[in-house]
Amino acid sequence: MFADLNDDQRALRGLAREVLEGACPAPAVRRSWQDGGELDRARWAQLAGSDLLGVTVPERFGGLSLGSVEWTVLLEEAGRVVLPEPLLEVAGLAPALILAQAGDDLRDRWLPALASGKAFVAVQLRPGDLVAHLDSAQAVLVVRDDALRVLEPADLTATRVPTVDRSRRLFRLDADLTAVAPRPVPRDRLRRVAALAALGTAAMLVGVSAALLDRTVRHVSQRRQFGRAVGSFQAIQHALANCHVLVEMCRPTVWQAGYLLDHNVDAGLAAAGVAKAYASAAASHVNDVALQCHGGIGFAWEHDLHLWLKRGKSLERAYGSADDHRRQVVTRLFPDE
Amino acid sequence: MDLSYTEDEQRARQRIRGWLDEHVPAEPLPAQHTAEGVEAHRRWERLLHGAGFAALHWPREYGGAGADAVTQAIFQEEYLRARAPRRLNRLALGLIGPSIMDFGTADQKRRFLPAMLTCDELWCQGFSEPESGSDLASLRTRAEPDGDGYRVTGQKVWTSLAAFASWMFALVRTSSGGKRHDGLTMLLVPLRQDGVVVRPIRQLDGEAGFAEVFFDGAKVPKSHVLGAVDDGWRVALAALVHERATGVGNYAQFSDDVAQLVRLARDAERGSDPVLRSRIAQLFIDTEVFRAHMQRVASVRHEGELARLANITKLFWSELETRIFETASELLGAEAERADHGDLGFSGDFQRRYWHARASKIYAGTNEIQRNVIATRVLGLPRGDG
Repeated sequence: MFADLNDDQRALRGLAREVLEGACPAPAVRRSWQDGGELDRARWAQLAGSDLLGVTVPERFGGLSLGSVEWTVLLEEAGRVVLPEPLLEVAGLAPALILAQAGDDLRDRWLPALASGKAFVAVQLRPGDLVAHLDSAQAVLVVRDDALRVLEPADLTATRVPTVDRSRRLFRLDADLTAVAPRPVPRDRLRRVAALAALGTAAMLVGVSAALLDRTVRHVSQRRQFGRAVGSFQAIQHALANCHVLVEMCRPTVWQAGYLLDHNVDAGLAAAGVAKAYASAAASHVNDVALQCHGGIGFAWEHDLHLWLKRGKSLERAYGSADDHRRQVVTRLFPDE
Repeated sequence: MDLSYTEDEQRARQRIRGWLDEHVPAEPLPAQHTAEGVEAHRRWERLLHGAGFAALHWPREYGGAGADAVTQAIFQEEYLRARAPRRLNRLALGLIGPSIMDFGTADQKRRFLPAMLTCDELWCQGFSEPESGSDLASLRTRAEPDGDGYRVTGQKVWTSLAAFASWMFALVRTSSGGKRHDGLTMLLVPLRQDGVVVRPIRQLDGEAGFAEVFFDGAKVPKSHVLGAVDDGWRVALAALVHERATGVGNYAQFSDDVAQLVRLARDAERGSDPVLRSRIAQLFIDTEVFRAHMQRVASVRHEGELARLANITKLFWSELETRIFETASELLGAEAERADHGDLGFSGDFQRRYWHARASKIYAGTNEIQRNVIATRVLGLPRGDG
């Protein structure tokens, strides 16, 4: 039993942090806000060049054959820099869906291309879900009724939806699904993909929260009022200490859920829900404290803080809110109802 | 990350489970704050020691099992599952013994450690005073040089187990002037002597586990100074890290408590209430999170990281335990007011666990102090005078 990141996982975290901080500094996120979050192909190629797109893709398809723990480590770093691109979907859910169905043709066609960054696909797990970067996708993987359908751009209509977080480029998807052949996927495998979606979002939220906490610690250490740093006031210190506890408690919860989804799926489904419920609630709290401790300046559009605040609010509800996942826990604990 | 147990770990679990199933008394032992209870628990502790289970975390050279943190956690889980008696010499095993290993002389280790394992000598901790709670460094109990040793004068308070302890791990003032943290010394004080008076204090949970201890020229030989004279603050801080890291916050206990809440909720009329079920679900989430955290702590190798996580551990479990028992009260409804609580679940221990949970946010450094430590030492925020 070893319930911490091992040396390889720490090394991956270091690499991911270095690459993502280089490829996606705050000014780049600002630019993404201005251009409506269009896919930055140069940045995507940079991530591909560092092998970060094929983390969970098997080696024989050009990936790293790593597990879901490593994947959550990568996503925490993506959350930390509020990466505009949908790394969760393209480098996680898409390969997982393609591996969950039986067709070799789909694997051969898409997995090497996803790992190398040559292909870009979108994913819709549930009817009505908004789809990220639908305009740049060569294909959309749509899950309905225990089956996967691969839609080409000609099969669908994409309608842009304005978003509060302007670097999240989301679309409403309209398509006649009956025109596309369904590929059956076992129900337990689809459940695992849905759990991966919740878990990956939880991991990104941990990154968002950690970045909010870091930025807020820096701000209150510099900002002076009453002749002293505001971070020296106990009211501020205790609020930030609570945030630190929340962030640190999220991490092992997320890692364990990742491990379990690869080794004991039933336990993993429950653990992923616990992780998302906890990370969403933690993120909501940290979000609130971060703005409060910044004071007025944090409410200014020109200040970078809201890039993290708004991503956090989007991810809190993506793939199930804290309430949604707690409801699942109620159902598991009290199955009679 | 590897959450599977190795063959060695599985064998250790089987051995522990087998021994406990065979030896744990069928009936609960009398309460520890009675003389009869102390004797019964002492006999149990000697049985544990004979089987090599008294101190899994102590190195073998000091009579422990030298077990790694994962095996210790396995023992905790099995101990709880077997409903084995509450441990007796908790402070000696968890905090004072390890401090003697860290700072003691060879003679001190030989003299004191074995009797901790057998419970021949019980220990209490003498830190807090009536005027020195969170502001520990302001303490005033003095040790004056006297011939070949010291004479101690002053008062300690909130001293668990003092009525039955023969030794106290006491932080006292040995010099004044200079910075107040610098004039403190850790002494190993014999309590069975003239000049020491122990007066029990009745606690909110009805027990008299606490006491206040008065010193009026009590004698302590020079050889019973732990660490260097005037260097006691460093010893105390190291001891507090042991205390916060071990604590009584056992994730297996909390998971078991939440499982009991679920059972109670399935039976009780109030249990079908969706608001209450939502609260229980949140507690389930919180205990799962705590388990993941504690398993991480058991796996961390780096000392600095371990100390950083220790403050979080104490803060989190003490507040979680309170939430668990507040929810239990809610579930019990009007029954929660009853003092005759034998049938209210939680092994007939409901009221004691509830009130004890309230204390856990205060002892071992109040949660406000833990937050100060996290803010200044972990987050690096400027100190209050900054």
